[in-house]
Amino acid sequence: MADSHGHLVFACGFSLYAVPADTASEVVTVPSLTRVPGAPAHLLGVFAHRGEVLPVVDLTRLTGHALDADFRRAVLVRTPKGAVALTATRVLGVSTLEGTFDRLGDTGVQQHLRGPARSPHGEVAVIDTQTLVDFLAHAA
Amino acid sequence: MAQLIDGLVLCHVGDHRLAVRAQDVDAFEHDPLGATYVGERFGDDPTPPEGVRVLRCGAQRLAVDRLDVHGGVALLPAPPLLSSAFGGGILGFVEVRQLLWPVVIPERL
Amino acid sequence: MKLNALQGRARWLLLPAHFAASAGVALVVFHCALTIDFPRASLGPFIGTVTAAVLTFNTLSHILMLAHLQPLQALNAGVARPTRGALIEAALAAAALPERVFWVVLSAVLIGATLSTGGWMLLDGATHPPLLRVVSAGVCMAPLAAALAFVVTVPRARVVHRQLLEAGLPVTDLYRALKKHLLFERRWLACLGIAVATPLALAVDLGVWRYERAVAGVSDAPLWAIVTLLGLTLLMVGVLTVRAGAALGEPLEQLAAETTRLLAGRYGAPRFIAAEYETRAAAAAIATMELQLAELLGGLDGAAVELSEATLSLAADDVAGRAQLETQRSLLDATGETTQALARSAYEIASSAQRVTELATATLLTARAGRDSADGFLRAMAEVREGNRAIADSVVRLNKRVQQVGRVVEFIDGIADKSDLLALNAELEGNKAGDAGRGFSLVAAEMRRLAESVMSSTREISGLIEEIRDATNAAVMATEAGVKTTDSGTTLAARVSEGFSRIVDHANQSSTATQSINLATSQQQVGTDQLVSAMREILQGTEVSAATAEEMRQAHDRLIALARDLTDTVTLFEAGAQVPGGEAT
Repeated sequence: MADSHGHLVFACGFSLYAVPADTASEVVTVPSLTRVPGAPAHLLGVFAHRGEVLPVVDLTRLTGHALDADFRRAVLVRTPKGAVALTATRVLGVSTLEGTFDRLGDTGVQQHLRGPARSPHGEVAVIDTQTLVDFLAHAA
Repeated sequence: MAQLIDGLVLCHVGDHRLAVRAQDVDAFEHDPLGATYVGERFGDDPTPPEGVRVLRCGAQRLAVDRLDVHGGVALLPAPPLLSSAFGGGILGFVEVRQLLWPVVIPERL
Repeated sequence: MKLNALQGRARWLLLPAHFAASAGVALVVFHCALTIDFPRASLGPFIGTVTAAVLTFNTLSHILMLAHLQPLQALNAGVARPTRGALIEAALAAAALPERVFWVVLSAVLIGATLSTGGWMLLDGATHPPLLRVVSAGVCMAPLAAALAFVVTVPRARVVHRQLLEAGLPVTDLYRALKKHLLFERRWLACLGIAVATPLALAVDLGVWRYERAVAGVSDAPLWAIVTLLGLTLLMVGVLTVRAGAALGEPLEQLAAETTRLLAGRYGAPRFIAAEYETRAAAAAIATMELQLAELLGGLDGAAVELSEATLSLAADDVAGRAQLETQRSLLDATGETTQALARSAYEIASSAQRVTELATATLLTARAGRDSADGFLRAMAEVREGNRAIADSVVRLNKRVQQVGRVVEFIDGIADKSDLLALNAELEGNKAGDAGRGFSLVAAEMRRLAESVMSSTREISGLIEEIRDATNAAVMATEAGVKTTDSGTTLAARVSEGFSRIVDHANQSSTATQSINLATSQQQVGTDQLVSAMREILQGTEVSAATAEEMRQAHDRLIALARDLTDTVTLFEAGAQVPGGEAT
């Protein structure tokens, strides 16, 4: 099957991820962050953007493949439960994906990733933003 | 419409920074004896360094490294993701000197 | 020290004075008793007064004389140590005593008589005439008594002198201390005069007195009394004359004996001749002469012995000298041969020195060339150094430019990044707009590729700039190292140049020195030639020396004989004379 609206494909560490284009509100340059004491490790900190405080989530830490990289970009994802910025080492652009969109696992963050899907840039894991944000809120 | 805070106490604790509403603080004290060092809550060394400041907030006495009092500023709501941070005692954030400061309820620390 | 002999000598010395004074006064009293008409009751008090006066005066004079003889008494009592000074003091006191005794006795008789008469007149109420008689009697008798005391005291003083000599006083010292008072004639002639004048005066006095008595018709004194007075007086005169003669004659006899001894050549320690005045001076002169002669003889004897020894050793030397002359001759023969060899060596040295001079000149030229090369190298090094500096400056400027380019590239990269982000969001928005936004998305995607290619280029440029920066840093370091190397090279070249300059100096000096050596060896060659001929002359001279040595030997034989004669002559003056100043024999 193929998606109709397209996905924003980005790299984070050694993996490619994709979020539905309609949930990705913006791509931003990550400024210096304010750390939140007592927050989980994948929550790198918060920054103010257009009068809004946004939490930055490191996908590599979330997936257990921590990468001490300089994340210049972040993809801003909005859900009814709130907005969150996902770190990206490189944003590749909006692409139409093909392939399956099944859960990649039943535990942890894997249950919020679907695939395997293919983009022009390679195989990607599609992030279920709604459930991921729920999961993150619960984990915090 | 963002909520306005009349007065803030900006605190530095180790590498961290946080703020409490002035209305939540009864007095500033010098004697750290019996006070809780806030750094301990963030996993830092429980022994406060020399020359700490102590905030007396009701029955609670909190020791911080440095503090500063700031005037009225708009309170930015905390993201839902962080609603349970600081034991759920986070009121939001303020932007002072181009930096974000989490505003917390002292009793929850 | 034989001080025991001096025991009681002071009083013994004074005894003649008391005796003479007493005798004088006794005669005066006798004279007065004879010539003055004393009432019967007055004679006793007169004699008592006179006796008292004489006793008093004797006591006083005794005390005075003892005070004068105090040095002698001090030696007796052991108060003074018998040092040379103390002995001389005692000798001087003894020597001066006879004269003092003379004057004391003279005044004792005169004053004693006068005082006693005065005293008696006060007691008896007598008037002028008796006093005049007493005075005239005193005037007559006093010189006689004094002279008698003098001539008796003189031998006693001599005895004391001899005893002082025995006590350790050196003869010459005694003579030296007693050398004053050359009054021989005056003193002895005075005694002689007194001896003659006193009897005459007495006779005249008595004659006058008897005449006055006869004129006055007064009875004369008994004749026996007058004869007794005159007899007593003449006795005293006789004693005076005999003692004076003895005192004069004794030292003169001793002097004669001494002179005879000296004439016989028996020299020894000078003997003391107890004498006074000029006689003593003569004795002292003879003693001094004897001393000097003894010393002279001692010296002469030693000289004769030395001369004898010297001539003997000279003779021995002469024999040795002839042997040495023979040795010298053979040595000279050998030396002559050596000199010939030396002359040959001198020639060889001269030719070697010539070669050394040539070599030194060549060295000098080479060293100069080396110095010029080193100077040239030094200049070249300085140029290289300057070039290195210029390169280093250029590289530093280049580095600054590259850094400026880097900043521009960073700026471009920032803009590209922002463009990329804008294009990315535009693409996202275009996509959200569905089909309407598809064209927008495509443009945005194009823009992103553009921005990305710009960013890729800037990254490449940044890499290149980084490489250039590394290269320029390396170049700067290399040029700095080059500058340092050229600096050390310049220093080294300067040292080399300096070294060459010194070598040139030394080569110059050695060239001059070798030339001097060359000159000296030439002169030496001439000198050795002269030496050879001189050696020949010396050989001839040695032959002559041998003949002269024989003549000298004969002269030495004559000298030995002469020395023997001198020794024999000196031995004739045997003398206990070897030790001048020794014990008298």
